[in-house]
Amino acid sequence: MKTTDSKVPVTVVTGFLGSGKTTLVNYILSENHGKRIAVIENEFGEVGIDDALVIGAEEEIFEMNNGCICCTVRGDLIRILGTLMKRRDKFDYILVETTGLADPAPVAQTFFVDDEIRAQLRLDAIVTVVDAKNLSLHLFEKKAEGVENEALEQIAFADRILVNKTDLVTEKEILEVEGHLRSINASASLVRTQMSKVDLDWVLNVGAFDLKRVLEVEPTFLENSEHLHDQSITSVGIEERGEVDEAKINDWLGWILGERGTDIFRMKGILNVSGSEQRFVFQGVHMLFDGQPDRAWKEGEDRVNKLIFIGRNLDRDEITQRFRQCLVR
Amino acid sequence: MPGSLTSSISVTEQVLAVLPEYVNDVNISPDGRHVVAGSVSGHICITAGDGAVRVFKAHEGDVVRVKWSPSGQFVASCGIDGALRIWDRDGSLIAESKHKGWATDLAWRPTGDEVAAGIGRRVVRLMADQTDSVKHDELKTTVECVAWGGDGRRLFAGHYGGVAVFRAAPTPARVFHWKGAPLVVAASPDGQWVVSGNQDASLHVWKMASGSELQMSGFTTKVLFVAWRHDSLRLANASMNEISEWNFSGKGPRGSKPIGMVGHSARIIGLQYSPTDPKILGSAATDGSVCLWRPVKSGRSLVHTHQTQLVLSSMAWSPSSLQMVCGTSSGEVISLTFDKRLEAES
Repeated sequence: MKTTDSKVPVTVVTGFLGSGKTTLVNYILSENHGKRIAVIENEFGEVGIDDALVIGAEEEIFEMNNGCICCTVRGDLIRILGTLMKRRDKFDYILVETTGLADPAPVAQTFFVDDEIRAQLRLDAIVTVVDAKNLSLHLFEKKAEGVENEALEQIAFADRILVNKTDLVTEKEILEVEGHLRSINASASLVRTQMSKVDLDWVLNVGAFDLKRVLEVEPTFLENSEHLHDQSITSVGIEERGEVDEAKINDWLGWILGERGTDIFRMKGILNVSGSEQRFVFQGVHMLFDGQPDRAWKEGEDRVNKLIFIGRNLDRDEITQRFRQCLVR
Repeated sequence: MPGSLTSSISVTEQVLAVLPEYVNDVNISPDGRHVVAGSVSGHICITAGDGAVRVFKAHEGDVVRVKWSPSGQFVASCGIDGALRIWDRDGSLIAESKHKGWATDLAWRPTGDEVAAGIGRRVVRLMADQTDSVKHDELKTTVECVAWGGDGRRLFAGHYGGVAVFRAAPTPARVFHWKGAPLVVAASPDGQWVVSGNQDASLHVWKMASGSELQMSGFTTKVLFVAWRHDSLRLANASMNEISEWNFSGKGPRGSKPIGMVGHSARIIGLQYSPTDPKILGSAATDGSVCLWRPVKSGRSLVHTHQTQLVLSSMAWSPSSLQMVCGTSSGEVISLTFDKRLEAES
């Protein structure tokens, strides 16, 4: 009998209209990377499943009756990925290109909530392409009450951000764009690109949702955050020494997931748990949480708790204070 | 003793045909003599009964479903190319209808040679003796599953947001609204109930007469398989490797506990009551295990387990004998014939 092969990695490419998403997908496909890549495009088209393995998707969001946003998934992706997995011997990587207006949360959650997909695929990373010239326009666009700013959310969810079209802007403008991006999402890594040309190892097989690689990228927090005031999505980072009490931190993380899970897009952390010689690592997407003891702390290693929360209307002082209450005195 | 019953069952396993890739669906003709199977390669195979097999390309991309018509004269197939096609036993095309979107499911009307399929956001109906198809009004979301009522008067289409009920007209006569995503829908043979298995690991049940509804939730995973017993008194469903059977006699299962059955250790890919021995429930799973159950409240429901050495992908009972056909992930179509002593000793 056949045994289960290792999971097929999936990279989700997001980005606003005109940012260079499709250029990135085409660039990846045209490069000689030795991978057979199946592509799910964001428009419904002819099925080319036998030769090119390109399938068009028409966004269909499934919200569940219980109203929990973490149960919101993409029905179209479940169908398409299900079909792809029946011919998994024909490819070893999947790229999902979303529309410019897509909410990244249901896309990401599909990989954790649907059991068949979770068993066979692994979300590798969310890669967001940003147009360096027009980013500010999208970020500060006035939206009606209750309407999401997708450009902001796509940045908030990202593990990797391509600051694209840098040839069209000055160094000063690039720095400003990078500042905006870091104030929204302090844990994504940024790279400057033209025509979406990027080292493929930087976007493929990143392992961003792999607990073993949690916070491999050091969060970059800006000292000066004067431009944050009209922006509701931010990152809050905690970096503190000391041991955390396991019961207290569990209670607090549980509270955050339950009470603030809707507003928190991504969270990651490494904890120094009292009485344990191992690092405890965790990550989350909205209310979906994954955590486990990791490798042992090394001899002489600085046992620092590092946590990052990316979300909407986060109260930095409150989060920091509640965390400190979990420390063993 | 259940043990002596188990030991008295023998199973004959036979490879009927081999398709190029993953077998999405299998079905046996009403007389039990012909098997049809459809693969993600786009091929269909039909067995002739004398061991001969006809294989032909039926769709571009996956064949999603294949089913024999109630008369046994025709096979209907649908695929991700958006086509619904009717073939005769020799594989000649009789009728077709093609639309935008993927086909997700099809069902023959129990009373005649008319087939309905979900394609994109529509239900499409096609008759074997007519070239025109009936295209129903577009629903708000993709049709995931279709089923006819036992008397052939009602047609149910499950889609995100509920179950649409059609009668003769292309506009739903009624919609059971519900905020969830049905993946499979089935009406009880007596027409009293309609049930959907859902993405959010639940069953949703509507009573046709009153429209009252109930929900069974808490399954391990999404519910992809539901099966009515022929007397409409029992409903079984599968979620991951677990099977539950619900008692629908009297006022229905409200507040009751199901019989839980765990025999497989991998994902179940088919669940059906045997048409010839309705008390026997058959199930198959991706680890190659095939189980026969006789659900009982206390004691052992599992009657027999047969272990194949293949990764099973689809399963169907024969309508005329205790025989089952299974498709595999690598293209084989196998038949499993169970020794009839099972019935004699029960």
